[in-house]
Amino acid sequence: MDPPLVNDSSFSPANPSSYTLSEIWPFPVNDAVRSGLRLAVNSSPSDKDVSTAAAAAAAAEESTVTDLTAGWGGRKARALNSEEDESSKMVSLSSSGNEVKDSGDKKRKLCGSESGNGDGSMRAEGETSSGGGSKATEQKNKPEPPKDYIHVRARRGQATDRHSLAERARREKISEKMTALQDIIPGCNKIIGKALVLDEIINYIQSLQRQVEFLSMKLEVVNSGPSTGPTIGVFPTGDLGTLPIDLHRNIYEQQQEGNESRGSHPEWLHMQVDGSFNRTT
Amino acid sequence: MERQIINKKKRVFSVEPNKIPPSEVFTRKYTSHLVPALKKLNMNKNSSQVNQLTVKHEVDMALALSAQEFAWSRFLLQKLSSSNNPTTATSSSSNGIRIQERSGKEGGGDEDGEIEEKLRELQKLLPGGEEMNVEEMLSEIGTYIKCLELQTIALKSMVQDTT
Repeated sequence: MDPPLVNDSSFSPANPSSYTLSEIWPFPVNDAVRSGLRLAVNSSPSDKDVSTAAAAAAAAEESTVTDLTAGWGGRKARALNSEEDESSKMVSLSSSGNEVKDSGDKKRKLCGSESGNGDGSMRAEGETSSGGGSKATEQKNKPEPPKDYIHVRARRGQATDRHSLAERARREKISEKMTALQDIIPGCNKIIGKALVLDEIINYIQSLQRQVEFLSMKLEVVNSGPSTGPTIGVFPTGDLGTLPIDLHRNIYEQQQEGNESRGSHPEWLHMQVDGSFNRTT
Repeated sequence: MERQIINKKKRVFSVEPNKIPPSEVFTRKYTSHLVPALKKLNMNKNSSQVNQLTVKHEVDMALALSAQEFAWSRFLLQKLSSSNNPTTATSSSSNGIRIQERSGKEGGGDEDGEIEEKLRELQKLLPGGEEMNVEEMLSEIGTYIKCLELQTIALKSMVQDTT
């Protein structure tokens, strides 16, 4: 009596068996997210699976957009990936106990190694990846607690109840991000200890902000023409109209040389702009 | 001559389309925002008063507009559009004082408390940092630092080119 539902179901998006990566997302996807998607798809097909696949596709989209950012696309993809891992762990509850255990291990391991690969492929400057930090924690071989729920590796002598697990996961994420920040900030590799690293970060950001302020002051002087400049000889005006072409070349060359500004920073503070300029800091 | 410069830049790009290095993307957007804004300021300088605040305002606005993928740029835009006060200037001076205080009372303080205090200070530095939780803030800080670096390079070139 009912007309065959072939027409409806073949076009409906809620057809779980037809999910492949190319159908969901025709664009190239980061490795990290692709493996996350594969993990979600490999579990037993169910309604929840559809939602995780769809969520992973959304994550893929987000991560390709954020991939444009220098290295931080990897961070977000991995953060999303770890979220996907947790939700796909929930999904595989329906399978047998052994399967859950293995997939739990695999997911943790994959998360650790993918973070290494993701870092390597997505860093614009080719710095050392911080995957080593997360791998070290994986290598503590501790007995797996025989539970039916989420299989997370518990370290010896630490509580395995839900709150401390969540807290531990959170703390690991935070320290992961801190190591990533250490890679960005020059001179932070040798510093050990969260407090000192945070100190360095704060100082660095403040000095960057001060530099920007100083430069904008200088720019204002240059911009305002000979009538308001302090000494005509010192700051001849330039024509901002010819700026863009040379500007990109200079900027690019400076990026290639690396930042030499950090060493000369104290110079700027002492530089006198002859005249009545008051620094606001 | 211009053609040479443009060709030299083209060699830098990777072979794949749409894969421009993100620092280039940011720098282009930034300069394309800032330079016209400065030109406009220059034209209007006779009618309205030009002081430090307007240039800084334009500088910050260009930063926020060129980095719209990030949360902190949204907060920065909000701050810029809502108030004309030099919020960044005052915050940086107050933070300078805070650091000296902190190093003075380190002694036998609680270690976790120190770290939390530093995190809070970091939050103050980042636009919108106080409304985020710690994890988010840490990831946003990385991008903020990168964009600040690129911004200083761009500003330096602008100043160099015109002096």
